[in-house]
Amino acid sequence: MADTSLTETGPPPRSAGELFLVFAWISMQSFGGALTFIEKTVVRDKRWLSPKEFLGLYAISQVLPGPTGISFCVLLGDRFLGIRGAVATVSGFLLLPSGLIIGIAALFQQFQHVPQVQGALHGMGAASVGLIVTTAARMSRTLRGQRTGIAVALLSFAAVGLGRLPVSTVVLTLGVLSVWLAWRAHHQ
Amino acid sequence: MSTSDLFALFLHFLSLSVFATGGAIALASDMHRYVVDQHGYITHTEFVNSIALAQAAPGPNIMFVTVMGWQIAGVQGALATTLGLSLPALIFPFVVSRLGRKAQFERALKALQRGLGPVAIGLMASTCFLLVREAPGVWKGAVMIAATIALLALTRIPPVLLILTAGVLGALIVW
Repeated sequence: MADTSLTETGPPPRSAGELFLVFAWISMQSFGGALTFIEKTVVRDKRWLSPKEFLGLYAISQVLPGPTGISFCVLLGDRFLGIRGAVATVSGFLLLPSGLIIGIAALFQQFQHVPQVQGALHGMGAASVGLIVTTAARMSRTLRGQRTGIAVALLSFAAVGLGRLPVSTVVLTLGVLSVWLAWRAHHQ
Repeated sequence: MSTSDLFALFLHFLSLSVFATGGAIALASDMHRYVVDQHGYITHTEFVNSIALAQAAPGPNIMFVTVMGWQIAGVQGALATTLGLSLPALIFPFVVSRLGRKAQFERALKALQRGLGPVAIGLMASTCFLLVREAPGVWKGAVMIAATIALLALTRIPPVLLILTAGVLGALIVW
C-alpha cells in the first residue's frame, strides 16, 4: 500500500461514469456502515482525497441533515464534477443495493409462511439487534467525562425511549439547547 | 394505500431526516411509533425483519428504510421512505460547499457536532431499548442478542457472518 502523507492526492476521477461505478462497487462491499469502505476506496485506493480532506468532508456530512453516507457522496461528486458528479455518486451508491434488497425482501416474503424462514429472520433480527447495541455502546464511550453530554443523552433516551415522544420534539428542544451549550463552551 | 397516506409517509420520513445525525438506525424507534404503533402499516415482526435483511445484505445502513417502505406499499412505498430520508442530504451539501469555509462556519460545525452527538446517543439507546424489549421468542431472542454482543466484543468475526450464522441457527430451532 502506498504511503500517503496527510495532504497528498492522486489524479481526480475522470468521468461521471467512473464515479458511478466506483460508488456502486463501494456500496456492494458495504456491510454495517459504508463509511469505512468509502474511506478505503476514496483515500487509500483511488487517492482522490487526502486523509485530511476526507475527515473535513466527513465532519460536514455528519452534521448536515440526512444520512451521512449520502451527504458524503453528494459532497464528493459535486467537488469533482458538479451536479453531474453528485448524481453519479448517489445513484451508484443507492440503485444497486436498493434493487438487490427489494429482491431479497420479495423472496423472503414469498416464503414467510415457512416456519424455518420466519425462524431465520428471527435469528438474523436478534443478531442485528446485538450489532446495534454494540454500536450504541461504542458511541456512548465518547461521552466519558462529559457531564453535560451524559445528561443530554440520558434526557434524550428518557424522552424518546421511555416517553415515546417524537424525535422532532426532542431535537428542537433538547438538541437546540445542547448545541447552544456546546457553542458557548467553545466560545469561553 | 391512498396517495395522501403515501405523501404523509414521505413527509414523516422527510421530517425525521433532518434529525438523522446519529445515523438512520437511531431514528428507528420514531419510525416504529409511526408505521407500527400509530398507523399499523406493518407488524413489529415485519419492522424487525426489515432491519435484519438490510443488515445481512450489502449497501448503506439506510436500506432498512427502503425495505420498510416496500413492505408498506411496494415500490412506491420504498421510494416514499427512501427519498424522504435522503432528500435533505441531496440538497444541503450543495448549499454548504458553495458557502465557502469561513471561521464562523467551522465553529458552528463543531458546536453542532458536539451538541447533537449526545442527543443521537440517546436516540440510539431508545432504538436498542425498543428492539431488545420486544425480542422474539421470550428468551431465545434475548440469548442470541447477548451472544452476538459477546462475540462482537471478544472476537474479530465480521458482523455479517454473525448475522448469517444466527439466520441458520434461527431456521433450525423452534421459536
